[in-house]
Order: sequence, then structure tokens, then C-alpha cells
Amino acid sequence: MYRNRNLDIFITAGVALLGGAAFVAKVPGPVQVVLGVALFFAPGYLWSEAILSQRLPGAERVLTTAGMTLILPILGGFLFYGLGISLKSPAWVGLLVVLTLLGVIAAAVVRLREVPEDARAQERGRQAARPPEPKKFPTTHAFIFGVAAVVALASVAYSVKSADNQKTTLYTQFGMTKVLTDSQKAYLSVTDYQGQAEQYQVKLYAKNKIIHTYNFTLSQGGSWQQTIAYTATGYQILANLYLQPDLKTVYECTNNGITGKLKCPKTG
Amino acid sequence: MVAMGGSLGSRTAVRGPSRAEQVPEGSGLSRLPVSVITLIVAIGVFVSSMGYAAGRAGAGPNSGSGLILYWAGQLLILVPVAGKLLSRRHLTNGSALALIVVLTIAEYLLKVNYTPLGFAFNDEFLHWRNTTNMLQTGNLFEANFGLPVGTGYPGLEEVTAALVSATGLPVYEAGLIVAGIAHLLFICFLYMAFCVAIRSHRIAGIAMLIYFGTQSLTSFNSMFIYETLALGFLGFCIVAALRSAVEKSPADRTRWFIVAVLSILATVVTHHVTSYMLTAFLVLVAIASRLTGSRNTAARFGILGAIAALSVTAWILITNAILPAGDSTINYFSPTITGMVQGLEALQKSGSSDAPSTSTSPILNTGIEAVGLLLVAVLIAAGCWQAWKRHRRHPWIIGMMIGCLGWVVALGIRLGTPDGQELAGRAATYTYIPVSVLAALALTKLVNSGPVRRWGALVTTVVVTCVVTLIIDGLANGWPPFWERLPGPHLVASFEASVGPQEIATSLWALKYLGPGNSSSNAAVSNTIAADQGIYPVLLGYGDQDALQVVSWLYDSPTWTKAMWVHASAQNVHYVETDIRTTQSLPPAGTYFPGDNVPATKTMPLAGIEMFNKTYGIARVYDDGDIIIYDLMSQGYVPEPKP
Repeated sequence: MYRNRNLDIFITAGVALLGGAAFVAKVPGPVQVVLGVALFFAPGYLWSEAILSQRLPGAERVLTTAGMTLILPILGGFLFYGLGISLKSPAWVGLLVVLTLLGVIAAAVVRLREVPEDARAQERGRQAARPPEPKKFPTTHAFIFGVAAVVALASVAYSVKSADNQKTTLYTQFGMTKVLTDSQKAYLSVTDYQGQAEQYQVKLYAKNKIIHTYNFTLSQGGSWQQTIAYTATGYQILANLYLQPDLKTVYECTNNGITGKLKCPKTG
Repeated sequence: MVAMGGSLGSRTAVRGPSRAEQVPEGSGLSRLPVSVITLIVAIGVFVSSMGYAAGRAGAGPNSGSGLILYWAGQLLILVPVAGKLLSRRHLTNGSALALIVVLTIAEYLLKVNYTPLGFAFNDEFLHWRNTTNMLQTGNLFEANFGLPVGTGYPGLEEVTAALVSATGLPVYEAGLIVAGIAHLLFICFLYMAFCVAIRSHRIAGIAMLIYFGTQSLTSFNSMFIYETLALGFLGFCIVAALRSAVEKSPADRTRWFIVAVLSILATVVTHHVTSYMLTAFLVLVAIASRLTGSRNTAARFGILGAIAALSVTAWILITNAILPAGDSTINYFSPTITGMVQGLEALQKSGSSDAPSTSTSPILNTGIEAVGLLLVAVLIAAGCWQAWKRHRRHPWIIGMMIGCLGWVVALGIRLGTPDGQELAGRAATYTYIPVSVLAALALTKLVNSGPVRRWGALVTTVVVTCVVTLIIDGLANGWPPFWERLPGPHLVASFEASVGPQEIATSLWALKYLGPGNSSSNAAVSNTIAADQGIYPVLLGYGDQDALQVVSWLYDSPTWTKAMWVHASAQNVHYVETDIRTTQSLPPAGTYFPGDNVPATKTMPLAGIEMFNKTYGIARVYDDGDIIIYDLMSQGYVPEPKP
């Protein structure tokens, strides 16, 4: 047992470094998630070992590890910010790796300081004073807990499915907005949320005349965008969107705010 | 912690089960192993989720079968846990903790299952925006239009950004993990603190069970918001402080003291109110320890209280220096405190508050709330009597007794101030901590008393019923409210019930084509937008727009008037969002617009939103059939009405 008493430190550090490497190497999603979670918790475990080096029971160890896991990125983030480091993703991963490595050193130092001169005698004494081995966790209970976990996770999957299937409003986004960097131009944009492919027509009017007619088809979630010449003060610009095959009823409408002969249909 | 390890000295060691606690009884629930209870609870989560699905499939909160399934599921969750914890049969510390953990996870899963595809609770959008901004810009203190004060408390965003960076998960999934862990930590640490304070894991378990009656516990305190994380630190700090006071070895005391200080610092930079409450708690225990003659504890808690007070003060000064003047913590709380004072003054003068109320809860909710208040009041009185009679030399219990005054104050705020219901609900997170301890003392005494023991299982059944009623009161009168108890079809201007794919897509469109709120070409003027309550939080969050409050004046008139022009110019209103659905139904939440406090009694006039369509100089820049966005400043200024 004594031979392996630092194994946890090595394993934690190894997994955390793998997590850092996974970020750099851009490994596939699920692998990065698993290694990333390990990297996230590693500093908390090591620093709780270093600060609270007493032999905490399992549940206490888990809770103090989780507590330290949440505290360290906050204090470390402030430190990095104070040092002028931009807190984008690489910095956060770097911070976790640095905290892990410092944690390894801190935990190792604490453990070295705690090793008594006559460690074997201590170990014997500890074994003598050790409470009886805890009862084994019955397999039946473990199985029932497992079933409970499956049922609980199934409830989440069921809810996701139910929310996915929920009927929502079908609509199409139609916009005419000035280009933020050039007020002489505007974007005409259409995005389809009709749940299926639809054919559209956009008629663009200026000075009471049609200056462009655009026909296009968009699938669910698909977008169309066109840059047009624009004025906010010179003359009326108006764009009508039609959902084909009905080319008589204006489906949606946008304008530049100058009132004139043409009007957007009344709301609703 | 102490209870589990038993590493403390006899002074605080957790008491083993007394004879009374081991008396066998006929309750079937008490005989069920924790694993079976966990399975029943998991089934309860599934059944409640089926209730949610029934709401989504049709009538939303009006779905009769959905409501039955939801509450049946809740009973499957609550009754077995309460039955086991409240029975007189011996329960190990591990079992008590396991039951509390199971209950916490079950309720958290129900919170997740309410909106499993993304955030829907208003405040969560604001922290989603803060986290996203932090990851994009690398800055700690990024402006947030919806929660300016939150800019100065970036703890939650830091932790989430670290997890997002390490795992590549989206902010939503990472946020659920962080909030879930923090919430579970808070509950576990609180339980462990109770174990030390009460010296009985059985009573600590009952106290935690009663604490689940807190209205905000399963909603606000488990959302992806900064208070959730700070509460985890608060719990950690309390446990560490207790351990630093009672550990035998000086080295161990120092170690726990370091953890307590780290927890204080993390709390202070994560959430304002929680840091104030933590300071108050540390000072309270220090005073109680001094009064009861525990000098060592008084000294430890006094030092930690001083560190907390100094940290809080320093952080307020720092954030005041860093953030724009209007975003400071002092500015954030000023209206609330002023409102409370005015409400209490009104209460003093007239005997009743003039606070407007939008609450029209069903009679059943109101009834259960009244029963809950009565039960709590009786339990507090009985608990105080027990505390004084048996524990008057015990610093923490006396501290809890003093802390119960907070519940009385919160009750006064609830009845006598504007927004009192919400304020008291949010304050309950803290005021219920001492309340639950004293209530647990009273309940345990009641169950163990000689005359009552003769009635055995019957009394246990009555007690379980009372406690489950308290928890159901917290759920029924907490959040989400009755009109959105179940998810369902879109409701007008009604918080989560108004957040759907259409609102999210519109907000993302606004961010893409209008730019974020701070992208105005004029640095002094932000891209403000007036919008109804439904889309307001989504525009702030996903849209990063500077959405305005109290804007109903924009929608009142059928014509663009001079007064509106003056008002809009003064407020730099850039965009106005209209939603045709606001002219078709009343908002179940009470008001159409954020910040309004006069309940709507009739639907919005169509002419009020049609007016923008025919006013010269107001451009119609977005249309999706229901939602239309107008640009009031398309010509560079708010157009003056033609005479």
C-alpha cells in the first residue's frame, strides 16, 4: 500500500496532461470531453490533497475536490487577468494545466513532509489501529442503483425527444438592414423556418418601381442574402416577400421608413 | 463531514442513534433500502417528465393529465425520501446523505427536463451571454446589458469558460454541469454543517428535508446563475469554518482555515448577496459563540467574518472603480432598498401595503401557502423553545435561533413591500437555513416524545404529510409559477413560456444584422431596443442587445406623438420590437413589458403597434409574420412627428 500511496498523483497528473494535449491536438469530441473533464477536476483533487492532507473519508474527499475544482479557476482566472493574459480558451486550458502541475508539486511536498522517519513502524501502527474493512457494497443494491440511474437518464432522453417533437410556429425571417459599415448599402435576407423546402420571391421596389425580382428555394434553416444599394433619406425602398405559389399576397414586408405610394400590408 | 469521518473530538462528535431513534415502527417506507428508494425516485422523475411531455403535446399548464403526472411524480420523489428520513428507525449517516443527494439530483433533473434543449429561464440567458463574451474577448469584465452588476461578479463565467475550453462542450451543457455540481455541493455542505451544528445526522437530514421547502431552492438556486455557484462556496466555507474551529490538531485547524478563506474570496467575486449573507452568518456565529462562552470558536469565526467583511468592501470599491458608474453594486441595490423602505413606510402609515400585486394564484396554491406559513411559524416557535431549553450553551444552535429573525423580517417584506413576494422568495434561500434547523429540532422532539410515540406509524404518517406539504408549497408557489408549471405552447410575454425557437432565431438575427448593443456608430448611444417581456431576455442574452425596461408608453398610442418623440429621443430608443400575439391574448405573467408593475387588463391595441408601420422615418427592418422590428433611427435620429 505504501509503495502506491502517490499513484493517485501520477494518475491525476497524467490524465490532466492528456487533457491538455487533447485540446492542442484537437482530438474527436467525445475523447476531448472525457479528458477535458479530467483536466477540469485534476487541480481540485490535487490541491485538496495538498491543503487538506488529512485522510478524509471518500465522500468528503469527493466534495472537497469538487469545491476546490470550482474555486481554483476563479482565483486563477483573476491571476491570469492581472498578468495581462487574455482569457480565451487556450489560456483556460493552460491555467488548468499549470494549476495541475503546481498541485502535483504541492501534494508531493506535503506528502514528503508527512512521511515519518520510521515509516514502516508507522505503517504497522496504522494497520493495527485501522478500523475493520467496511462491508462490501451488496451487488443487488448496486444493480438497483444502476437501474435507477438508467431510468433517470432515460427521463432526460425522453424529455429531449418530447421537446424536439413539440409543435412550433412555422415562419420565415425577412430582413432589410443597413450594412453596419456602409450606410449606402443594405442586406436583404431571408431564412426559412417552415419545416420544409419553400420557394420564395422577393420584389424590391425603389421610387415606386420594381428594380429587382429574386426567385429562390430554401430548405429548413436555409438562408438567402443579397446586398442592395440603399438610402435612408433619398427615396422610398420597399421589399415584399412572397411565399410561392401565392404571388399575389404579400407574405412579409420591409422598408426604409420613407412613406410613399407603396405600403407594407397592415400588421396581422 | 465530521459526521462521516468522526474525526472530531467528543465536543462535536455526532451523536449516535438514541433509544428513541431506534424504536421499530410499522412504516413500510422506513424498511425500504436506499437503493429501492432511489429507484422509486428515478421513476418519479420519469413520471413528472411525462407530465412535461403532456404539456408540450397540447394544452401546456392546462393539461389535466400533465398536471396529474407531474404531481404524481413529485409525490413518488418526495414521499419515500421523507418517509425514510422521518422514520424513527436507525439511519446511518451515509444513508441520510445518500437520500439528500438523491432528492437533490432528482429535482435538478426535473429542472433540466423542463427545458432540455437550451436555457429558458431569464437569468440564465444573461450568464450565457457573459460566458460567451468572456470566451470571445478574453476579458473578465465584459458589459452585459441585462445584468450590468453581474459584470463585476464573473466567478460563474470563469468556471464555465474553463470547462468549455477544456472539454469543447457548448456553454449550455457546460453550464448545466457547473450549476448541477454547485447546487449539489451546496446541499451536501449544508447537510454536513448541520451535522456539526446539531450533532445528529438524523436531525441534520430532517433539517435538509425541510430546507427543500424553500421556494427558490429547486429553481433559482439550481439555475445557471451566479448565486447557484456562490451558494456552493457558502456551504463549503461554513463547513471549513466549523472544522477550523473544532479540529483537535492546530495544523488541521490551519488547513481548514485556508479553505475557508479561499471559499470566502470565491464567494465575494461570484455573487454579491451571497457574500453579504456569508459575512452575516460568520459574524452571527461569532457573536453566538461569544455569548455561549465558546471563545475559540468566537475568535475563529470573528476573524473569518472580518476577512469576509473586508473582502466584500474591497470588492465593492474595486468594481465601482472598474465598472461604469451605473453598473456598480450600490446602484444595483439602491432601487430595491428604496422600494423596501417606501413599502414599509406605506405599511406603517396605512396598515397595509400599497404594493401592486400581479399575483392571482389559484386558491389551492394560496391555501397551501397559508398552511405552509402556519406550519413553519409553529415549528420555529417549538424549535426555539427546544433550543433554549436544551441547547442554550450551544453557539451554533443559538446562532440559528437568532437567525430565525430573518424569516420574520422576510415575512414583513413579503407582506409589506413592492415585489415583496419575489424578494422574500429569493431571501428564503438564506432565511430558511436557521428555520430548517429549528424546525427539525421541533419535529424530532415531537416524534420522539413519549405520548406521541404510542401512536407510532400514525404520527410518522402525519409528520411525513406535513413535511411533504411544506415542500409542495415551495414547489407550487416557487418558480415556474402555476401558469407555466408545465412547458407548452407559446404564451404571450410570459418568461419561459414565451421563449421558443422563433424568439431565439429573432435574437440571433438581431445580433447578426443589427450588431450587438454596443456596436452603435455613436459611442455615446447604444443600440437600444424596446421589446415585450417574452422576447426581452432572449434579446439580452442570445441577441446581446441593449433591451430597455418600462417601455409600454411606446405602444399606447395609435399615432406617433410629440411626447413619444421626446421620450424616445431622451432614452435613445433605436429599435422597437412588436409582436402581433400581444394584441390577441393577455399575458399570464401580468404585464406585457419588463419593469412594468401595472397588470394588463386588456390586450394591447393593434393600432399601437400598427402606428410604427405608417410613421415617416421609421423603417421596418425585420418581419417574420408575428414579430416585426422597426428602426426608429433609420435616418440617424428619432423622427419628429409631422404637425
